[in-house]
Amino acid sequence: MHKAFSSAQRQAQDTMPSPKDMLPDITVVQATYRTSIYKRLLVLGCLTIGVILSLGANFLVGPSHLSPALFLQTLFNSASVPQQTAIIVWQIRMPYALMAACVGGALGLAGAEMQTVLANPLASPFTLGVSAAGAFGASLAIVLQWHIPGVPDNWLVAGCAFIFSVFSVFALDLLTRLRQADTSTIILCGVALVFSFQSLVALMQFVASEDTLQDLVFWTLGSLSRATWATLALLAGSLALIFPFSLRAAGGLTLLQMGEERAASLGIDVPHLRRAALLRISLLCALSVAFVGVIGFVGLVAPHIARRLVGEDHHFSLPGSLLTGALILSVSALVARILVPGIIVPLGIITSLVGIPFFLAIILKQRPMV
Amino acid sequence: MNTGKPVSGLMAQNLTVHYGRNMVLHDLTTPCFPHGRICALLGPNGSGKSTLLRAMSGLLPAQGCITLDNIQLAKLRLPERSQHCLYLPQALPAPVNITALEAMLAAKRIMSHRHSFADAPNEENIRVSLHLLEQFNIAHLALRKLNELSGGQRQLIGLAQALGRQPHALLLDEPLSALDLHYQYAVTKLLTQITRKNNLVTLMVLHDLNIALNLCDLVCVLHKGRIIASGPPTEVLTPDLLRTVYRVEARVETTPDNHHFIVITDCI
Repeated sequence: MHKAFSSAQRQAQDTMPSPKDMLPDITVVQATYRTSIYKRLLVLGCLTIGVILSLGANFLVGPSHLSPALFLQTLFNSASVPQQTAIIVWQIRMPYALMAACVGGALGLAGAEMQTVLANPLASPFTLGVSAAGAFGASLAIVLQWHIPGVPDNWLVAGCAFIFSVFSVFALDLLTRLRQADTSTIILCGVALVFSFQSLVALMQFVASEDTLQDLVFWTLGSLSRATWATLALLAGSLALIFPFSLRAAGGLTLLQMGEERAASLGIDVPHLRRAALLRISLLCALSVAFVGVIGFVGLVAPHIARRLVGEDHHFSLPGSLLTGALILSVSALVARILVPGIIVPLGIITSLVGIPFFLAIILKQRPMV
Repeated sequence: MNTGKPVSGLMAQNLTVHYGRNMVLHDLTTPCFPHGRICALLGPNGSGKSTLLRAMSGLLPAQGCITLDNIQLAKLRLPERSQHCLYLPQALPAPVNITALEAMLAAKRIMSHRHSFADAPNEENIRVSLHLLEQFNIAHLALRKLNELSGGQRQLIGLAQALGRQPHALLLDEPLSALDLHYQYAVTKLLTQITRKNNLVTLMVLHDLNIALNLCDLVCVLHKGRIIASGPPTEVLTPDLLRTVYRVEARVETTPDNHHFIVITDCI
């Protein structure tokens, strides 16, 4: 019996290649590594093309159909086309479509950073109460009909939403620092924030008059139709400013997701990295919420999709999340306009409907993790 | 790595660490951990081993004086400090969707201050990283993702990551916890080799007293936040000490070929 066991063991040793035999050749490893990087760049390229195509579709498709030629003519020489076409392109379709892509990108990027710094795959601007806080800020301005002389009402609403969103992120950050809370505590407090702000919004809805209620509901469902060139410029400008800082932090974030203590032990100033990320996140989320209202789902799902596509090296997954978010929201915006002819369905309703099949396809395609 | 001049090694003097109001280490002074020797930090659960290592590497706020070769580590900023004295946490690298090689490169690149987008695969870094993985006998895992690897394999990658940073002192918190019998010995021997070759200060938390007895040059025993003994393992690990510190009745035996082992006969 004992003998049989030991001979079986010897046999197993003979047939199993020892790790030494499988030593990879360095040039092979280098080549494979390089290929993997090119593959990821290719994926990012494809996402960019996808965003451009969906933008194009958003420009052209609508109640009054535009040919690509007419669109380009309007773009470059708007004096030569009927005034109505010029208005449709410049005042309606372009701000709408570009705003969708920018908000999607901002929420995707913010979600990706949030999930890393809070070490939780469920973290997103929506799940941690940033959107809800913004909604409450907006509801205050809408329902109480605040006016500040010289400030347009919609900017006042946006400003209130912005202030409350920033406040909610920093309340979370303060909590982390004062109580040295671990990440699960942060998530739970975020959930508490969601519910408190949601009930506050419900309270505002309860006391709101008929007119303001309409406004408020519309706002909480998320809508791009208020997009103007001014708000677009502000959001796109912030995104363009913030993104390089995110990329600079990518190396640290990549190590951070392997464990907070490990990152710190490798020389990363984790509190500083986290605070800087939270500042970027709060700006991006607050601006998005302020201009288009509550849009869930993108911030949660875009980073997951991006990570599946390009891996978790943040040099790739951050741009990947940004592009995926932009793509999802851009396609959603398109669907929102063509679903019911003549009516723009609120974007917040569409995003989940469009995003979930996308999400499930990618999640379920991978074999389950052990 | 070798500084060339007479070196004194790593030591902590009058170290005090609080967790909230709870004082974990009180006015603790360690012996000097010398270069080129592998030292084991022993002690029962909750005796302050991890706290000591964290405090020495600057991850915990601590009062006291921590010096490596007469350099005051507290005066350095964290990134610089980690170049001198690197702590390897007990927690395994999380199973994320990046390859072992990328994990190695990420740990190396963070110090280079060049955060260019899609950093061109630096041939030299890849070679060094692969060589390290090869030393741990896991070069064949270089292109596997961490979320496909076992805990032990990830622990080896974590170790390789730390060694890849080429610190002067290595503080390892239970580096063998997830490893099988073979790797426990292989890794300890490899660490000894690298410690000698690069003249490192290596201090590791161990629970396996037999490894400490046979493979480590020095041991240091912590008990209730104080160091109660330190020196060569065979002198320190006596039945008396095992009784006070670990609350076991034990004998230390020596084989004819001069290997030592501890036989536990009862627990108190």
